Amino acid sequence: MKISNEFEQTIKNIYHKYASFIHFRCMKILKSEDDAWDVTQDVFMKLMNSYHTIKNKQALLAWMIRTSTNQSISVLRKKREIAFNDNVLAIEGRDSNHEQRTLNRTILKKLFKLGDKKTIEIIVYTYIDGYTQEEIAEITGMGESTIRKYLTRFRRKSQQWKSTQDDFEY
Amino acid sequence: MTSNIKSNNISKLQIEKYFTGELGSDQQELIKTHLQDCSRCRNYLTALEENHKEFHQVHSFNALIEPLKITPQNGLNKYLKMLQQPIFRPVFITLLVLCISLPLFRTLVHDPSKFRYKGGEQISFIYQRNDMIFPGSITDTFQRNDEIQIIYNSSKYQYLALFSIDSKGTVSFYQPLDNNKQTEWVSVEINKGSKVHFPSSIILDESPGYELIIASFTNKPLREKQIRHWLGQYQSTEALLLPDLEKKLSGTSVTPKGKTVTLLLKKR
Repeated sequence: MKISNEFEQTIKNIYHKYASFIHFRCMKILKSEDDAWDVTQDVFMKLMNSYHTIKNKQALLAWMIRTSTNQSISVLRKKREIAFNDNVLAIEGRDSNHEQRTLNRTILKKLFKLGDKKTIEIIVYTYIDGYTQEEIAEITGMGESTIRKYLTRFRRKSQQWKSTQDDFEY
Repeated sequence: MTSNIKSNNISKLQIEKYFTGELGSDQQELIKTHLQDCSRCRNYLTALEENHKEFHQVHSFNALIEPLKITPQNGLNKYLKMLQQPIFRPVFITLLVLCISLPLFRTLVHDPSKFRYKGGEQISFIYQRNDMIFPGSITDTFQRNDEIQIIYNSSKYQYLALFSIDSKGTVSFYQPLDNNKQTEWVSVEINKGSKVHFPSSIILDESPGYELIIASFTNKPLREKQIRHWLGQYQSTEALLLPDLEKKLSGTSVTPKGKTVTLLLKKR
């Protein structure tokens, strides 16, 4: 890829502002330094390829969050074993609520293997990042009612999965 | 999106925007005020800032940008490296087997000429005289008992009727006999192909002048009656010279979508 000096400086500034946060989020999802760095690089590669198409260049955070989430989900889906642990449900600054306690590793693994990408994305924002539906709407551009539909669908599905489990946890 | 910052209602996303410098100065002030009272948000911001320092000690911008400043050669190497992964081996083996076996299979099973030809309808000929075979040319002069073998090119599956008119106006048809029986159908089925020999040959008689050989390519088989009726439109009570008839027939066809190709042979 040919990069002009001016564009390289632009990317350097963006890297300085956002890269550590993206890496921080990816570590929470992927639990692997190597994978998190790979995804961070992929996000910046995508940024460089599509920078001119991004409408609001002053507010890249939402774009970064979306792109890094989708990349992380792709990485997890390719892995044979997804190493979720209980810490995945520990969300900074938020108390675990009833719903989060009903999620366990087996359900998360099943979700990542079988669920559609959009649902997984919403679940990551809700249960791993701890964003509110309003925040998720801002990040994804979807309506809050649409987000609620995805969550409702997931809850229904996870109830079905839970009923077939032996090691169900509350 | 309107700001939803209220004194105690700061969202996680807003802390993250504050950290990445996306907030305006007014909003930044509000966040700073909030951080003074909220340990939860303060702790989160501290975690982000500490992670920021550690991250940039380990992952410099050069570590990101240098591998991405690739020459086309390096780009190719990246894809070649990806393709070397074991998961692609069965794919390559299958492709290799197909590349070897398919052309071999086609050569063994199919007549290549039927698949290679892409041109329009044409005829040419060879002829046999005194047990010797000669390439045919309309500039040659032919004689009694010369055996004309018509060779045709066809662009598709269709029907071919071969007939001739001599200088006396006698029309002769050259379809192969169906179980040794005469038939009203004078067309044979032909497939797409080039330089295909017509299944029967023309043996010239002693009548002098010309022999106008006509090949009629059509989508449906033709009856003798149809062809005679068609020819009748161009032949009148007056004697029509075969060269003139050839010119008249040029560009016409027995059926609307068919094609007529002619050869005018001069006889001694």
